Amino acid sequence: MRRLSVIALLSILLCMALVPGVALAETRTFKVDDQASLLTESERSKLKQDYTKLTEYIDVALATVSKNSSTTEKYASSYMQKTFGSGAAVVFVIDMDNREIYIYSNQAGLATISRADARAITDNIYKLASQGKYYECADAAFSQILTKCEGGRIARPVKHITNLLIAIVLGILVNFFYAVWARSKERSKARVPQGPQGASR
Amino acid sequence: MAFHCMNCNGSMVFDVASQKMRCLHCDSTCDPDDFVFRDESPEAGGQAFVADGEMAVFTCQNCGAELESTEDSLIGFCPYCGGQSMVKRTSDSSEVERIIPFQVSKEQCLELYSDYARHVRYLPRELRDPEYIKKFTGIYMPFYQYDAEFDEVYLTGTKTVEHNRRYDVENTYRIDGTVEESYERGVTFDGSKYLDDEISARVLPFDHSKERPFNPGYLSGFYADATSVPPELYLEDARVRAEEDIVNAMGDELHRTSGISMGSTSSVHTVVTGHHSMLLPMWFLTWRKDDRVAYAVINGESGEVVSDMPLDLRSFAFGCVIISVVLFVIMELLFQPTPMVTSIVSLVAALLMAYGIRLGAKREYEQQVHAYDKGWGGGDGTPVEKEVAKVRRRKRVEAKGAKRVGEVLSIVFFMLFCTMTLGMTIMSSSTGSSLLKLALPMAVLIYAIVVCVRILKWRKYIGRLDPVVAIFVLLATVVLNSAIVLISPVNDGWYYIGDAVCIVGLAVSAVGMLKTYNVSTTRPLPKLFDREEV
Repeated sequence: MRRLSVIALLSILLCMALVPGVALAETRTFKVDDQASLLTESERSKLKQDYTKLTEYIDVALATVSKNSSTTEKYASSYMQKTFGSGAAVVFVIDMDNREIYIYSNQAGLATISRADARAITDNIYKLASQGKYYECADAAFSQILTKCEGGRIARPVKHITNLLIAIVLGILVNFFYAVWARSKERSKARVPQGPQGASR
Repeated sequence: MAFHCMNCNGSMVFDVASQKMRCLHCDSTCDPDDFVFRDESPEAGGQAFVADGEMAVFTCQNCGAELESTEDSLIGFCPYCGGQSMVKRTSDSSEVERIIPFQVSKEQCLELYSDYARHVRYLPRELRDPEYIKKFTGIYMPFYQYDAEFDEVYLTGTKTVEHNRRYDVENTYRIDGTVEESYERGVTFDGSKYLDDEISARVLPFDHSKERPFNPGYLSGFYADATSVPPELYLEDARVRAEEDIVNAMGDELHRTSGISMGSTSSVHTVVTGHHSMLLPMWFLTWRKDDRVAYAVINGESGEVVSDMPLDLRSFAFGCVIISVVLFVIMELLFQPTPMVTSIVSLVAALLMAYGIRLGAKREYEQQVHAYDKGWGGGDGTPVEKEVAKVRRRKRVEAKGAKRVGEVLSIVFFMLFCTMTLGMTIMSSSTGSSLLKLALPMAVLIYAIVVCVRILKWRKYIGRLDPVVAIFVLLATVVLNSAIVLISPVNDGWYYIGDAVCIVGLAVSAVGMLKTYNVSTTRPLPKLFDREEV
């Protein structure tokens, strides 16, 4: 009897431990906060509908802003704090004041969308924002965030191009100095006459 | 005089392995010191020698053909019969006293060079070709040896006698005295105006225990040059070198026996008391490119290889591709830079390349004004001659020790400059300060302009446009990338364009500077270029 009581108590404690998790999963949200009115109502609804699946992994928000006195990064950080607290979350900000787009993951969200991932995604979509295609831009951003959440790979053409260009620049530079150094090191051992009057101590 | 066998009248050559003269016909040998020349003077119907400017005409003693040789040659070869004659000079101001016979044979020389060439990067393919390197030619080059005597000594030194965390106790010493030593044939300088002082200094030293009293028999089978600069040219250098050697030797002894470290103000009164002329053996390989020639020289006694060979630009380009591929793979694994970083890297690369261009142009300028070749002298009061005097005066000051300190300081300053500007750029990205953002572009721009002004000043002496083109292309790169960094355009394409222009700029600069380097490794065609393998 006493043994049964212990098992029952443990079962209750286990259930209590699981409840917040279940509750958290249920409360994950996809928030669209279009302060800059860049999207139509139907576009906002479509975004929410298309990317509901994201909430299985993480809290997500799209925030557009037309007046921002700080940097986009600071805005995204404070928005994250206000909206999601410390749970794993990602915010995609379109800052019309600074003319900048930004994907911000909080500490818990970095495991899903790292800074490098966020940069790769913004590199892939910034042209859509430049052309004023904000819905397409947000759609592409969340599509790539979902790909990452599902364990897929996203294209990183900017990374490849920049690495290639830097590698070529450094390749020429390193090889040039190596070639000159390799040839000139031999010359240093020579003791040559120094001038018509010679050197004096 | 010709080298004829006493048995069969065949040609005799010096055999390195046995250190004897060997007849090519009957294989008999004889000691070079015992070799007796027949009287074949013009009066006895032998060779005739007529000085004609820098060329001399003589008659081959084997076949009677009329041949030309340089006035500074001791040995002439007949291309018709292969015979070898000792050319008598009209004004023999400096008699050869001693000689070090060849200790390295042609076969050993080829092996040494092949081994050496395997480790030299970007060597022109021709210079690795086993057939081409057979052109190595043995030449006895003239050198002067100077005697010196020492007397009054003034040495300063310090010794740390107590050392702890808070203080050091250091004793200072001053030693006055007299050295009763002479330095017989202790300092050596080359006596040929055709051999660059820098190359001859690098090919030294020779083991003087292998010296023999001069006998023309040792020259058989080899070329030999007579002295073509007066011995007085190096008197002061010989005095300084002798003093350096004795001071260093005394310093080492002082440190070994009493732990005293000698100070830089130490000196020994030194007087050069005489000079001697001698011939030293060298193997030469020449490589001609247009109207210039590069050398690989092997010390015919020790086997030391010295070369000033040009870089092969195709091999260099291939090297760039390999290094770039390796860097790309590493960077792909570790980094994800932003396009802005590419522009910053481009600016830093441009800064470093500007430094490289400056070094290369300076070297070319110094070579053109013969800053390191004392054997050279125009004496015509031309602007180049005046510049030569100015540079040599500066070199004299640098020789006092300022050169090394100056070089180290300039490198330290340059590194600080790079670190500071790069640090400011990194800070600007986190703080968003546009003032800090200005630091790198402005610093690179100012440095590139300074280098540009300096190169334009050297331009008339350098004689080549490559450094000027290189610095102007680089300047254009810097301006474009500075603008990109300052404007920070949204479109990544601008960064890529800036970087692509930087790559073109770096490639043009690198190729231009390597072409300049290749010119500086080569020299105008000297007389010895015409000498064929014997």
